Amino acid sequence: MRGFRAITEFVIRRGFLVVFVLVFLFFSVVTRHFFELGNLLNIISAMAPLAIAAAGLALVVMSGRLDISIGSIAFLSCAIGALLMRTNGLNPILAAAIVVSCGALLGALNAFLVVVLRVNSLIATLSTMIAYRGIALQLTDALLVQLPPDIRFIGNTRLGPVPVDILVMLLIVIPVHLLQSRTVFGRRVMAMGNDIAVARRLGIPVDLTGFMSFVLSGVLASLGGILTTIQNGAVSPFLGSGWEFTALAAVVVGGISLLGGRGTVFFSVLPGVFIFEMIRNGLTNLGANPYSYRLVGGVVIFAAMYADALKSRQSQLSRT
Amino acid sequence: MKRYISGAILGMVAAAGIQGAANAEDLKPLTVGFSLDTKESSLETAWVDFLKSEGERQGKAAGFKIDWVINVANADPARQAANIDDLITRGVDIIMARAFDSGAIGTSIKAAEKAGIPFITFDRGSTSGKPTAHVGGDSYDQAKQTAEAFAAILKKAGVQGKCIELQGMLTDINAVNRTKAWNDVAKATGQFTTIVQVPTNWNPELFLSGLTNALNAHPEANCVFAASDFAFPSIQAALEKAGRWAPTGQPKHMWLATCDLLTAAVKPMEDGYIDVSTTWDAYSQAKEAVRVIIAIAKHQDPGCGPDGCLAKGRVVTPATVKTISNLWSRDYAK
Amino acid sequence: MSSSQTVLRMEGISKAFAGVVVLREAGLEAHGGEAIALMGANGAGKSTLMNILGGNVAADRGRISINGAEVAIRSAREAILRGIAFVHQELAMLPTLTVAENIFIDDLPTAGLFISTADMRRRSRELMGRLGSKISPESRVEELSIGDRQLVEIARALRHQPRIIIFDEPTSSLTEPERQRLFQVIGGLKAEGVLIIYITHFLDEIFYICERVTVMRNGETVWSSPLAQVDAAKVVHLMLGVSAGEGRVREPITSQGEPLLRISGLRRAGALKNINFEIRAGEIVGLWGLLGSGRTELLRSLVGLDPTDSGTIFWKGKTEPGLVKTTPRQLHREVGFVTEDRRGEGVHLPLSIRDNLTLPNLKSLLNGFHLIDAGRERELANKMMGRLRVKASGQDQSVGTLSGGNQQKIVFGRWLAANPRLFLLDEPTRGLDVSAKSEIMNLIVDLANQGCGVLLVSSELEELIRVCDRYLVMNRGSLINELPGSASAGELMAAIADVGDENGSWS
Repeated sequence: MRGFRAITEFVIRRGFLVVFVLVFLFFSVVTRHFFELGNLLNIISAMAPLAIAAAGLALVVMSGRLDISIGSIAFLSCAIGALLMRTNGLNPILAAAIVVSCGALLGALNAFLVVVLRVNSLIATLSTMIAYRGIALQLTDALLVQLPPDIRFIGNTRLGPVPVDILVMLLIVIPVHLLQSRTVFGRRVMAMGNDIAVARRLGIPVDLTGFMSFVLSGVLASLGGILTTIQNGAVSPFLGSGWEFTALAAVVVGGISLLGGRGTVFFSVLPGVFIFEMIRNGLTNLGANPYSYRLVGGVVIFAAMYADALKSRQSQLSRT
Repeated sequence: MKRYISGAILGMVAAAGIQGAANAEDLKPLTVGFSLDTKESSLETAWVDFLKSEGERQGKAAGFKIDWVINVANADPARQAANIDDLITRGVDIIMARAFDSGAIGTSIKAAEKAGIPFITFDRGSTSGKPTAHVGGDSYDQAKQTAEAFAAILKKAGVQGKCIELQGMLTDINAVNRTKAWNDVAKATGQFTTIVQVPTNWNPELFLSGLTNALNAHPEANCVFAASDFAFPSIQAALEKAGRWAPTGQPKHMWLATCDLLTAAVKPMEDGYIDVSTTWDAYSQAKEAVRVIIAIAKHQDPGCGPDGCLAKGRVVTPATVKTISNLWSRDYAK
Repeated sequence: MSSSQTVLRMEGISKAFAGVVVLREAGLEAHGGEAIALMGANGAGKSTLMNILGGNVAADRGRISINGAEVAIRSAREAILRGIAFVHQELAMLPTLTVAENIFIDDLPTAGLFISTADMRRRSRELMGRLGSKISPESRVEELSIGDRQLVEIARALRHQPRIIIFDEPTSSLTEPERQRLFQVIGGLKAEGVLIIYITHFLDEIFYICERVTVMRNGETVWSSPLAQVDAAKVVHLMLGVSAGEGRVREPITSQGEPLLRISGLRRAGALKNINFEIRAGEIVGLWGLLGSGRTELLRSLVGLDPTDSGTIFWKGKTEPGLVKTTPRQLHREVGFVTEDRRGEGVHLPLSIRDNLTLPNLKSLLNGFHLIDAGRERELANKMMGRLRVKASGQDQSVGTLSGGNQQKIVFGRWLAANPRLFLLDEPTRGLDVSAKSEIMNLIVDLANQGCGVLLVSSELEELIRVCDRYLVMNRGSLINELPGSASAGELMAAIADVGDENGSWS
């Protein structure tokens, strides 16, 4: 029986790793074109925008809060940028700067609701999620906003065999990881996630840190939006929809606890997002019913959240 | 004498005036509620404009002044049902709706029936209730024409087609008709086969990722059929990614057939990337819709066929796209 | 650092919270290099006095001076700047962060954009080394024992090179070896000239490590002297103001009242063997025995919390004369049952005193419309509070904020309103301080005087001796003896010491 116990312990602790490896092997063996460099690069390429946005979400989650408005922030900020480019002929670099500023502002509004007005972060970002998307749909009339043809080429450039969007993703996610693990700000975020009352008692500027975490989340969401817009050549009304849930699932599956204070960006977000994109890609390769993706994704999310709950129950006992 | 002449002139003017006033009063007011499900492309804007202009032209001739009440449901069937309820409460004379979900619209049809308001389904029919009339494009015929023209093109080039089919949202009856027609023609001519079907839910992002994955999983594919080209940029991005973006005549060319020929697809067709498409004629559809509306307002039978009053599209190829007449998507850029 | 010169003087400190006076001209004086014990019952004001010193609370009047110079401490930050560190009973730890991060979290050392981890590690090792600990600075705090975490907390305090360190109940969660280690650490700090203020309710500890003692009572400083001038008894005396632990509350009586409860042949395999006894109205019967003798099991079986294999319970009903057979479940409804587990026994901590007292008796407070009559509710709560002598700012105060002793009184109060004629009490004073224990004992005697019968289980012989009219001695699930109320402590100890192998099996 001890062996059985040990296996369950291992599965709970490293559950994600086990699932990851199993799924990877399954698809590699069962399909013809899954396990090819081209396909694997496609997976990473496709997941890049979500990974960037999820990195921002990860910061907020590690501080003990939630931000489910990231998809809507991406949509609204990019819609504004794309519309300005189309109607005013705005320079793309300037437009990108405006998009990022919008992301920061929208994130700051979230921060205001949560930190200043002390609204529960789930409720606050739920309302902004709906409001921001509504505004964006109004602005775009729920129409596709196409990018000017001269910047569309970026979506497909490669550096050798590696698509540029993968490099962009790394260029953004790695600094965020360093921010979380090696800077004062990052440690303060983790402190808040541990116990916000204790952190305050210790003199940590909890409100300022919390505020900045939401602003960063907004900025990263808009950066992810820019990347997906370039990939698609247009801002579509579907931009970012569902991001919040997949990102949240990816973050938890990757090892960041919803209770806060635990996990790292690079090693949690990237594997987490990868596994979901991998499942979608693998199922397509199999020619499976595409609605099965939701079922499989749901099972993975459930398993991850359950393992997270078990893990935190164990450490809850040692936290007191 | 002068008094008589001026009197007669006054009298004639007065008579003309009264006649004019009477003419103005002859135009009966007719309120039509139009429920649009979404505005995913300039097609919807074109419809609204054509409906309004046709409404004024045909309406005046028939003695009606048509007032439009338009609402948009942002791709949400529940929202659309609520919008239609609003129209019913408002007491419009006729309701016309472009359904988001051909199954869900049945509830609204019943509600209108209960309130005694005639209901016309526009562009997308209903699978769950019988409206007073249906006006739309003939989506089955559209895909059939495309497919047959495509088969002819492939035959001429000596190519046996192995196609990726990008399907639309399968709760949209038009998408269902198109995939049926495409595959019926495949069976009939034998010139091409569908090796994989990618459902896109009319989501441009799924056009991109679905086509990318399909191209990767089936490198032997040499043709693509898109049930609509409204999200053509995504299709282009996926082909570019796979290194298959080239116009006809070049070795990397991917044989491409689409439906609708919307604004996003016009230039690619002019440049030879798209081989064939069949138009979704917004103008003739709007014209037909207004005719049916007026007929119903006059309590006459609009005289629709078993599938409704359908307007057919026209086949277009790179050779004809620049010159074909009345191509609203080419001429009507937003 | 010449902190052996540190002289801390707190004089005339007064403080009131919402009209309730908590400190009345309290004071404290101590020197660097020594540890001073700050003693007092719950609510005596020691925590408030220390919170004022630590900058968490502002005094209404009074002055604090360090080395003769008056200081104003308006915040915790200022206290730290003045060299005052406070190690609370509740450690301020961030479990998922490392030891080094916890120590430096409010002032992380940086080199440019990033944290200088090497520097942090080195300094943490130094600080922990001063405390005699070799714990790696990279280990996560959640992996450490409470004792080790406390060292991390002290290390964090040491960062600011404090002259004064306040320890508030530092040993309540420590193991014995950890406690010894803490004493060593404190000894080391004293040798460096730090002034230690030590708050504890474990009387024996202060004689180990303190040089002076200050006793507070009811918000005033009633005693201050070198520790050598007092002994434990004197300290308790000073804390309570009365001689505690001496003399009976009520002399033993032989009850003339009617029998309330008779138990016949109660047994349960593995726990109870053939229990027979009787309790009369107005008497306090002590159930005495060692740990594991079956006293708690007996009580629980009587009210049906544990099953029984056989036996009969006879109970004096309300209407019928004489005893009637009854079941444990019915008995549960009729008797008052109080245990040491205040929170588990149905006191609702967030609710007010009034709500807790009236909750079990709402039926009797309904008016004509079957709604609760607020006036009668308040009246009942007032009556109860008076009868129980509950010390609180009012019946609206939340029970969670009361001291342990007062909370226990509320538990009694729950039962009192139903007027049970028998009380089963299992360690009702466990965890309470001396004065609270006294008050509960007085309450028990009051109840007996009013005609209730009481069956009292307690491990503290001194307590039983003060109130019991007779003793039932248990051992290994059987009642082996009965002693009169006049028995001495020695006789009672002998009764349970006399265990041989007679009752070896559990049949």
